[in-house]
Amino acid sequence: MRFLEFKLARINLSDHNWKEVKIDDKLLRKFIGGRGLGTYLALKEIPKGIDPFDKENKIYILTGPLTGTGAFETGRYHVVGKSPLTGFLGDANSGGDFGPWLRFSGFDGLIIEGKSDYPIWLRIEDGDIKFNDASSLWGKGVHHTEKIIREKVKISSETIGSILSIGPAGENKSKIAAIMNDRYRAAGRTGLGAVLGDKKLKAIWVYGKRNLLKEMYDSKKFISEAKKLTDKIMGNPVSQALTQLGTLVLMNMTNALGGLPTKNWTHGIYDKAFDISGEHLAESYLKTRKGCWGCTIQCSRVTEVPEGPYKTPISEGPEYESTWAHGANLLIDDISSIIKMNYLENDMGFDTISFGNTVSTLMELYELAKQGKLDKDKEKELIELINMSGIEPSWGNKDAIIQLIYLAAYRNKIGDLVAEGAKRLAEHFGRPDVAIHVKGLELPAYDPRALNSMSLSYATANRGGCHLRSYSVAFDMIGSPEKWDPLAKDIKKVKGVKEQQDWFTIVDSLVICKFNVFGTGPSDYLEVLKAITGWEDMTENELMTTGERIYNAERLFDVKEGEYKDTLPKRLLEESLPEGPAKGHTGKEWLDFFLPEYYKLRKWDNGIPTEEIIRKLDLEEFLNR
Amino acid sequence: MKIKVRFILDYYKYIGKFELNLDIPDKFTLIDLIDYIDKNIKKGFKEKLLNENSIKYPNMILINGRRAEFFENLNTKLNENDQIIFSPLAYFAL
Repeated sequence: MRFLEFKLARINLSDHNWKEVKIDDKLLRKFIGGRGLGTYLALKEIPKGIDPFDKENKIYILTGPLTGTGAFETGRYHVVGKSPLTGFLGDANSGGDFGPWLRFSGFDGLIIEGKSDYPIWLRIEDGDIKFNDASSLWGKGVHHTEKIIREKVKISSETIGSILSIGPAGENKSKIAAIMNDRYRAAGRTGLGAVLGDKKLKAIWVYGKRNLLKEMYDSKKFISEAKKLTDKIMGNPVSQALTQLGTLVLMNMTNALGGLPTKNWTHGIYDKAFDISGEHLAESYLKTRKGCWGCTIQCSRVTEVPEGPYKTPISEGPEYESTWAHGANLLIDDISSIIKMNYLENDMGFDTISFGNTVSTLMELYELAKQGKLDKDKEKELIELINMSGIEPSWGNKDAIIQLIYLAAYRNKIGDLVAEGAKRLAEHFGRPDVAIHVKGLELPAYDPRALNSMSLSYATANRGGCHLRSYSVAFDMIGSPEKWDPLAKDIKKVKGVKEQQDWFTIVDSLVICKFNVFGTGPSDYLEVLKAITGWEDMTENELMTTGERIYNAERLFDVKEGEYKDTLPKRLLEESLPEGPAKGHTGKEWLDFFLPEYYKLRKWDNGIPTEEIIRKLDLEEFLNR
Repeated sequence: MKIKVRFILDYYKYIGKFELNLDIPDKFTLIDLIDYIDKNIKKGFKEKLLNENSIKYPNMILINGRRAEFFENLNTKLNENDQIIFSPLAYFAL
């Protein structure tokens, strides 16, 4: 038996060289892997205050100790780098097959640094890395890119090996560009696809025969503990519901609670929610289900629109967030058109949450322009750009959105501004209040005025407007692991949000799927982790403290990068919902109640970690970053 | 009085409809409505939903977007134009 060896490849795109980097066991235990290790490396290596498109910015593509081991839904990877969208530390997570195949290729992670003079793609196989000219791939969509690379490596089966790539959105440095893998999977949030585009890295192929079981500290124990974990997860009713309807199970429920953001967050109820729900998809365009590597929940939907104006080949998606962003948010009730948009945005390489929100921002700006409610020069500029683009971006116009996907991916006409994301688009036209974002990152599909703990979750999420730092919707909406009244001012919610943030940080560092942790907690993963790593004296308490350490480390990066404020967008803070169970409530009402207690609990001074907590969490080396 | 009843996920499949517009007597409570559906629309509905006189896990009933537990539970009095939703609790997505 021996301790786990965690091995990264440091890849320099400026001189097309690479070298191996071994992560010390003590450091790994302190930051686990994935999001945690990426945060540590970013703090150490990315100079303070640099432009995200500076060659000194880096992209860390990392797995965790559980990735690819078969310890249930361990098919994910995590990406970290300075975000061109927010200007703070960006990170994103993706499923599919790439994470496991990266480990099988001989590397537990990649550090991407420097800039290439011309487009390249990397071929990583069995511990070796080759640099290849990608000039002929530049400009191509994700689907086509993957097809060509599979022809080059002569492996056509999509279950063998895996490809990570960027689409034209990333190439053209759209600040809402995703890093894509396995055609339909996205490390979507915070625009890190643009950083790969800036570095001229088009794609990475990974393949290999590494046997992770042989490298484990105690493989027999691992097999037995992993089985216990699998039985527990699959016995949970949530896992069964996800299998049945996928993430779209949520549409009707969020709508019923009055928290389904509609028409750029001006309403919380969409009267046609059923038409874009999982129930409707199941009886219309659903073909089958699919899962990430090694997963039996299979929450992903495989759909096809066989004919008509929105004809779309068999493809994966759309997920709940993407469907909402292009459905209720834009007043579109035709799910076939949303399937098409999702397919095209995956191909062009966009974050669908950010894209949908940016389009709703444009639609509201256009409506204001037509009503004469923009400054005259801005109104003239917007109308001219829209006319030149040959589109009519009014609420519910499906065809305009489909054209916008291409216009934004190639930064053409009005698309050049859409590619900048909602915040910059709204600011450009003098109406910052129209963009719904936190710290520059567009918000996902839960209105915090109706699900009040989300006001705190959104405002304090380190990477910006995000539902995955703390998914307190689980408490507010479905009563798990504890039943909360979504409209109650209950101070215990603060502790719930904080603890979930710390735990989810560990989930992203291990790197496992967040669907796993419904019905499981830190104690359920301890024995599996010990069997892999040999950290036999690790406790649940240590794991949670590690989560808190990483959450604080992220914030230490962010607070030194410019104005960083834990708040909600003006509309959600000040305007109340006009109808439904949360009618009359504002975000300010909730956030003013929760935030002071949260800072107290975190030992933060107005959002900045105090020296006391920095020392307690053993982060002294970053005190003076 | 007129009310709107919606069925989600398992209940959508079970009843075969997403939405019903019902005309029920005044002073109906939630338990009266459940009895009504069991008698007139789908036999066995009450047994599927309730465990004696409480909501069986994992089920959830919303009255105008608020859980029945936040009112008078099964004894909550219904009003004209109310919207009632029957759903399994197992809803979760990220």
